[in-house]
Amino acid sequence: MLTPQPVDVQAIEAELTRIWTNMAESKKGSHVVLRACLLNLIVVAQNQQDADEATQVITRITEDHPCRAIVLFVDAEATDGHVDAWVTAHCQMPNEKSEQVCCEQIFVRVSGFQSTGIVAPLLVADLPVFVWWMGPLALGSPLSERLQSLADRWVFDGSTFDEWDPSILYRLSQSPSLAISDINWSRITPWREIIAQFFDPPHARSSLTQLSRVLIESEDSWQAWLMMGWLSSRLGWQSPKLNIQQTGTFTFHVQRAQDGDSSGHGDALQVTVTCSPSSKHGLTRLLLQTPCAQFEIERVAADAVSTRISIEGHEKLERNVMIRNLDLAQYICGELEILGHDKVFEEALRDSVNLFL
Amino acid sequence: MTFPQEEPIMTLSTNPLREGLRQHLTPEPCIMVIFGATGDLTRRKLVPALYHLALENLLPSGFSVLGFARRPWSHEHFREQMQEGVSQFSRNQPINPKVWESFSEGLFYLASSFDDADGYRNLREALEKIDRERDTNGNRVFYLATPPSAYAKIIAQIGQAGLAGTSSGRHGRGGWTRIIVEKPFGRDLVTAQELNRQLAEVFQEDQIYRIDHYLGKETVQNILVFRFANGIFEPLWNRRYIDHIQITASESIGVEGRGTYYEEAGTLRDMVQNHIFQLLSLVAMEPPAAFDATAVRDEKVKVLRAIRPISPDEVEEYTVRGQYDAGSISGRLLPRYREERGVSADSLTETFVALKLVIDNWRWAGVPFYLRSGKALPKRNTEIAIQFKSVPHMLFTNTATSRVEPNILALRIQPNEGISLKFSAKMPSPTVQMQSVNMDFGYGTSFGIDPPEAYERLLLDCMLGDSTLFTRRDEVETAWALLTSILEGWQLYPPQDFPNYEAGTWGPKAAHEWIARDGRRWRRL
Repeated sequence: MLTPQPVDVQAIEAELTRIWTNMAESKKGSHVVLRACLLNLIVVAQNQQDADEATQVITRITEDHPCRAIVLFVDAEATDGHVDAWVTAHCQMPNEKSEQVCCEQIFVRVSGFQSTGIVAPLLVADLPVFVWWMGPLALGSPLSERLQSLADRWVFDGSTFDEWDPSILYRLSQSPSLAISDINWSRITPWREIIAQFFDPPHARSSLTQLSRVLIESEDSWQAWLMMGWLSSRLGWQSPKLNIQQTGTFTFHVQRAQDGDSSGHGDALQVTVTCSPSSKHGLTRLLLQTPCAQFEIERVAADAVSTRISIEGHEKLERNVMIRNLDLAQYICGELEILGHDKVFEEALRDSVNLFL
Repeated sequence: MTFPQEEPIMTLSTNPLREGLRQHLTPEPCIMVIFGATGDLTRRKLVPALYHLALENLLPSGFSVLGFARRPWSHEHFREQMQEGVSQFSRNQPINPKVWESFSEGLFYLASSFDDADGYRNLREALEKIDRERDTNGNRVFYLATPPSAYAKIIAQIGQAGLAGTSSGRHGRGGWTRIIVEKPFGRDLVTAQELNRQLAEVFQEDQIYRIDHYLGKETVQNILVFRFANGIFEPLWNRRYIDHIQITASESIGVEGRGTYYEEAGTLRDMVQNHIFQLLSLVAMEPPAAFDATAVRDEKVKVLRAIRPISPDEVEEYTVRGQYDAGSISGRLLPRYREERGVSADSLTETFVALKLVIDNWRWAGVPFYLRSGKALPKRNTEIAIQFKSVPHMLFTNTATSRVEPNILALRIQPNEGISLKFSAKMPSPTVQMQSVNMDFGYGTSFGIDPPEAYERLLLDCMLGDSTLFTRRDEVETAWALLTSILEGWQLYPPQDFPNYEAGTWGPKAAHEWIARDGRRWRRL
């Protein structure tokens, strides 16, 4: 990364041009430097630690997704009215087979009230706009409203929220022009893969319409609700009723669909969600039970789960499955590969929201 | 596996939990029976590929492997040998102990000769036991990883033991059986037909998966994506714009101790009948109506049928043979082919072949396909080069460069997998000076991930019942019909000049003179 250059906000484009010209001149006779940009990435950071982390992640992201990255550090404590901006370039090391690809990062530190008008002039035209909002969402704020009008996709991390209302998020997901993604949803994807795998054999699918009990245990409560929302939306569960609530444990009775779609009302099914908040892991255990079979996943290590299938009259089948733990940059890279709406996520979100209504 | 029922079961035609997930489907639990399980293929390729599928969680719970071979190994010894193979040959190192522990619990071994009926009775019992213990539900994949001489015995014994089953099992509720047959698939048309007949006596065609690992390579599959998912190339993909096509599969090694096998095979059988014909048919086929096994393979066969047969009397005109002499490659000395172990001192087996094929259809009329393959060539390289016609009128005649290089689209299969397009560009200068430049796409740099091993994809496809990337009976026989005629011609006209190229060179001089007679030249690779 080149040393960031302080610059007047109005002069950012000119400063970027100067940086590229200087780089091209300094590389004459050696590697060609390519200025590449496939998307705009706006990162909103609300504290210095997030802003520093964003810069580190951007360095990694640009290896796979050349972009113009704009880090907007909204400094709530700043009251001086100053807007500070720096520009820099991230370059991959060139090799014998390829030219050196470089991308640009703009870092802007603003006090909250000034932030709304900063971003739009800095976007590269006609390229998709991704917003990665770090930390708690402030969906009604002027900055958030302005960015929603500019963005194609909105990325957030549900695990960073303390208390919030998911129904706002669900309403946001209904915008035809804006798709949303939650990094926490990506974290439960390996679990979803394993659960789906239980029911790939055609003869096992009938169990999905016979479920009598489901247990979801998690150290991240939002992952637990998303998991329940996903099962509910895919399996057509209806009319959830919260029956028992103890500290951290919620028991619901839901109507399961008889034929796997939402058209028919079937028997009641008991779903227990236990959240024991801790920053260590997300989901820790999941059990799907029918009167004669049990499918279970249990976390045995940070990167491994044990799966068990027990069917009446059959030997128990157990095995270890690796769960690939991605870092933040890898999750963000994954999100940048999707542009449209993630229907399955949005439906899971809808059913998660319904649990609280 | 049957699920006890306490209420009527509603069967779902699809798995509703799969929607939106990247992985399409996991195969049903099954047992893979590997005949020849003590051989190199099993420990170098098959079990490492299966282990990697387990690592990626692409295998179902209960998936099991039953090794079947003559050596008196125990289950435990088989597991140890396979662990050693995976440790040495898996592309993911080191081996993951947790995954290996689960995976190896599903590895079993049965010692028997391939023609012993008792061995197959024991096999049946072993399979039933695994079915009970690991809920594999009667689903089987038989893998013939033996020398071809054992195929007939094994196929017949499977049939006699009543193990052949059906393609769909018991009314779609499990219990299917499939068989994977390794190449070489016959050594001429008659032997290929005989093997097909033996297979057909025991199995239905949709149970048979003839494997050619080239089709499992990402770059080979990408030929179809490149052609049929991009709007700009297909309009140029015909006789109006293409001058000719070259397909090269070169190896920089000799026979490496496989002299006995190679004496029986030769380059035409070893490389052209399978790998190179697969590349040719994918490049030359018409767009299939759908991306499924029947539609894709129908189109591939149509191309093979449209190739003009080379009669025995025409072999001198359409083919060139070679055999390598001693030489050096990258500083390594290579003995002449005739001095390799297991090779006759007066061998006439070809280690190099060049073919000119003509496809008689509207798309390719007048566009020759030049194929070449050989051992002991300077580089390991497989590529398809599409050379476009030159411009109809040259504008830049009074310049330093009056000759313009033709445009070439090169699909690199291995190594450095990717695609490049060569075109002319004006060099920065006050006068018109042109230079050929390459627009290059490299798999490694663009996607940053290792493509899966060919065997991983193919084994998974077979377990899923998708035969798109496997060779069909008519495809094999059509290819052999074309090449058997050439083999007959070569018998009639034995080579007089073997060995005729030095190891480390691009084949015999005759191959260069032969293509030059058409006003063309081999690409420098």
